[in-house]
Amino acid sequence: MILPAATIEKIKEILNYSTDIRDEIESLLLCTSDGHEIACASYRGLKIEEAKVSAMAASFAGLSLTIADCCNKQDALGGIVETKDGLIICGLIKTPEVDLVLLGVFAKGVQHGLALWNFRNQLNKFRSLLKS
Amino acid sequence: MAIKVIFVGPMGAGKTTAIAAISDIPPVATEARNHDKTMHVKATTTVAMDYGELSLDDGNKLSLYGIPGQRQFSFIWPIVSKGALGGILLLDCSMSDWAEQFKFYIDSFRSLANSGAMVVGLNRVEEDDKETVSGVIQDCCENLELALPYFFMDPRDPQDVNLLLEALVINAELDHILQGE
Ligand SMILES: Nc1nc2c(ncn2[C@@H]2O[C@H](COP(=O)(O)OP(=O)(O)OP(=O)(O)O)[C@@H](O)[C@H]2O)c(=O)[nH]1
Ligand SMILES: [Mg+2]
Repeated sequence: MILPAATIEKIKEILNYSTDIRDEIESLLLCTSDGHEIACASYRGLKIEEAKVSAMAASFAGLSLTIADCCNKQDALGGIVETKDGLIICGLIKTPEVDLVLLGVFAKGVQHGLALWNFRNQLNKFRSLLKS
Repeated sequence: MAIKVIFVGPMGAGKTTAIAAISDIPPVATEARNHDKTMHVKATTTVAMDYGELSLDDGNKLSLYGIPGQRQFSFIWPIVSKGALGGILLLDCSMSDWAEQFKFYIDSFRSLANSGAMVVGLNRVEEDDKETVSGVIQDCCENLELALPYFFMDPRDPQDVNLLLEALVINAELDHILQGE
């Protein structure tokens, strides 16, 4: 197992109790940087294919790092996909034990600034949990 | 024009290593930490693609792309391999399932194999096992009705990787494509 069962339970708790973001976020997915799904929650009845999207999120995060590097930007934090139906944001969480990717699927019409702010709050929750 | 060649094969076969060994430019990689040590003990794994370039003596160029070998990334294989005129299939023959992997990757990249545009690199074969491994490959090719050139090689050795590419250029008549430009 990549993370201890107790940590995964806590991750699921954070995902399932993220009521404050339910209006803006359709799905939140956490996976390893090499594409193994850890946990996922969908809030507005729109489900995603978790295993497939985990692999895609890892590819996207990996490419974000590589593109940043090739453009002389160090330490990429993640990447953003803009669509007419809302934003998709992915962010990296690096710890000494594991490297994870958080993917947030935002609802149509959500302001970019608000989406990014919300997403960073979620990232920080997972960062603190994994640090402890 | 650059001719696109893809390096395919399972996790740990040496695709990233082979491209890095021969690329004229610093290779572009998308490595992430490998969290599944039951699949392979190596520290990192490719999650999107590898990219490198190799200039040929006649002034033409090969662009070298590597796929991520883990099956969860198969969604990206058609994207990375689009437009490829040749393929190098690498296998780590110290893995117990290498023959199944061979068939799986031939199946996944069948159009290259069918058109004679695929060469196989067999990695980590002990001297004593070469005959057995050759026999297995020949049987597989016969069953699949394919005639694929195969070589014992080490992906860390630029000479070995170059040999595979030379065989590919000749076998797939990539040189004719280049001359026909
Ligand atoms: N000792 C030894 N090591 C080898 C040999 N061939 C390859 N390797 C090592 O095996 C590893 C191959 O890893 P990669 O090049 O990352 O493999 P890959 O095919 O790109 O794998 P994925 O990207 O995960 O699909 C490297 O660490 C090589 O140095 C060999 O003949 N002997
Ligand atoms: Mg690789």
